[in-house]
Amino acid sequence: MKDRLLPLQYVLLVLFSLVIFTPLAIVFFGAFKTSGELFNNPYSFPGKPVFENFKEALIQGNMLIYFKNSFIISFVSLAVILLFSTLSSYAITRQGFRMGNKIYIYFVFGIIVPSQAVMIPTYIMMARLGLVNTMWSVIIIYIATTMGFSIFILSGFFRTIPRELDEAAVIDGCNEIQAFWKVILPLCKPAVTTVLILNLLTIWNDFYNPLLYIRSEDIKTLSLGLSKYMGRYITNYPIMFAAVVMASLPVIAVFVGLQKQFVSGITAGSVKG
Amino acid sequence: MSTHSLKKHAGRRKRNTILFMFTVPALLVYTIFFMLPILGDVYLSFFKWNGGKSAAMTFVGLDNFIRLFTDDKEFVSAMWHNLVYMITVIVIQLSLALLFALILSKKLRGSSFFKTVFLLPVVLSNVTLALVWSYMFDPLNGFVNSFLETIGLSFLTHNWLGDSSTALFSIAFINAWQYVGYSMVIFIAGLLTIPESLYEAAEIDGAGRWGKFKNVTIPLLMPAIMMNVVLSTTGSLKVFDLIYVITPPGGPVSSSTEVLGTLIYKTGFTYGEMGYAAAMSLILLLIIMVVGFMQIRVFRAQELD
Repeated sequence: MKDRLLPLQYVLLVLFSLVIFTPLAIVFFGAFKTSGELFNNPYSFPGKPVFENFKEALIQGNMLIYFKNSFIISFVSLAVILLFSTLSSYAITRQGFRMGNKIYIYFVFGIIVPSQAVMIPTYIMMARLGLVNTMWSVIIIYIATTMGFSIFILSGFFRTIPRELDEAAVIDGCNEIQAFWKVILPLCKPAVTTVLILNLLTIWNDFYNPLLYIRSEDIKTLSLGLSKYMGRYITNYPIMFAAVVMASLPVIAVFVGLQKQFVSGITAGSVKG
Repeated sequence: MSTHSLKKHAGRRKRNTILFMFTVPALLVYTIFFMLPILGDVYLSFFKWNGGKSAAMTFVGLDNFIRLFTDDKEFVSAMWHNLVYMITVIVIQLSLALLFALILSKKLRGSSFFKTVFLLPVVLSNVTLALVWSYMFDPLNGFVNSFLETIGLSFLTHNWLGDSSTALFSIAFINAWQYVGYSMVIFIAGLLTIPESLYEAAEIDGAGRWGKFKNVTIPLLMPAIMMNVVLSTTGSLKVFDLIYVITPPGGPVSSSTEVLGTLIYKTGFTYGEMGYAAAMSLILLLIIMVVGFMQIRVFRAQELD
């Protein structure tokens, strides 16, 4: 189509961009202001950028610790999720594996179930296992609850890879693991990246599971730590803004860098609730 | 059977066994920590139990469910709040998303820039948005009120999040603001599947802009519309973080924003009524599953097209 943007359409797009950007810009620039400057000139650029807020949030606000914890939890969860889900998807989609389709449907069923609906029994189980107030509780929950969606996306992609390819590898002397690792997995990079990004966002941003399972300050995650700025600490907006900016930068960087995979994940996975 | 094919047969069985072993770790963790708890909900919902290790579990049959629907104003009002929230989100989010999808589905200069901007909030966490918007809606220093004053609408200024009559709508607005880009991407994917020839045919039949929209775009976009409606519906049923952080339990307006998610949490972990909370979870699960299955049917239909 050779349509050109009509002036009205252009105005609408710019207006809505402002609706999106204004809150983000106010917070971003506010993070570099003193409380007094924010109060007097909330909507201007910072006159002389202050970096104290970041230091304050990192050290006084424990952000450094939260960062470390969110990183550890995301890293461990994602490593296991990717290992388990790629192996399963590979197995599910290879011919001759009759159970494959049944197992696939069993996993995909999990996409519908929200983890909130099972919080009571899961919590009791974690308590019995002695895992409450450890990082393991949330890591295990993340692995279990993202498995259905991950396998759904990966299986869709693995199916497009001709099985003659890995069968040939097996005939050539590879064992199953080698065929999977050396031949199939490298071809599936786009799907693996999609699963990685979407799960990273889910886990990095999750508030609900840490709220349920994590009590000690030294294992709190970013979302949980940030939530303390609500209410009681709200008097100091610039420090809160600095914390918000730091917590959001990693996901924004990932999003800007890998946008294509993100969008294809949304459209492929719009089945995810 | 020749020895050759016997060997081949044995080889295939061995291969299938190895492949099955690949799925075992995922199956175990998924079953134990996600699927079995569903049965746990069913089991617990028949008991009165405060969750204590040594506390007695009393079998009460269907009492929990009867209490939910005959004697629990909180539960009914939580469901009502979910519904109001859902409608607000769907109206704001989907109408804006459709509008911008129609504009941006054409290959225009700069369209990818706008797509990126509109999608940006999707990656931010709910806690982040709660903090950002609590500042925006701050009755004294916030942008929203001072903006209204600047453009001469000062009579509209309001304590948006602190007043029980507007808190739920304000939070729904934040939710819609975040996901306009998400719905838009799904609409754009749907719009791109509509063949250009249909528009040309409609034009030959004398259809104008509106006619083409009503008779070609909307019917053919139905799967994407349904998908978005279902996603917003399940999303609204699941809402927890935004509500919990912006209007914390016990806060001044928390009763006006109580939804199923926060009510289950409160019933189980604050009041210590595990059986009763499990019964609530089951109702939530049931509603979401019904909507979810619709979603899968829509998805299947789209795949077949």
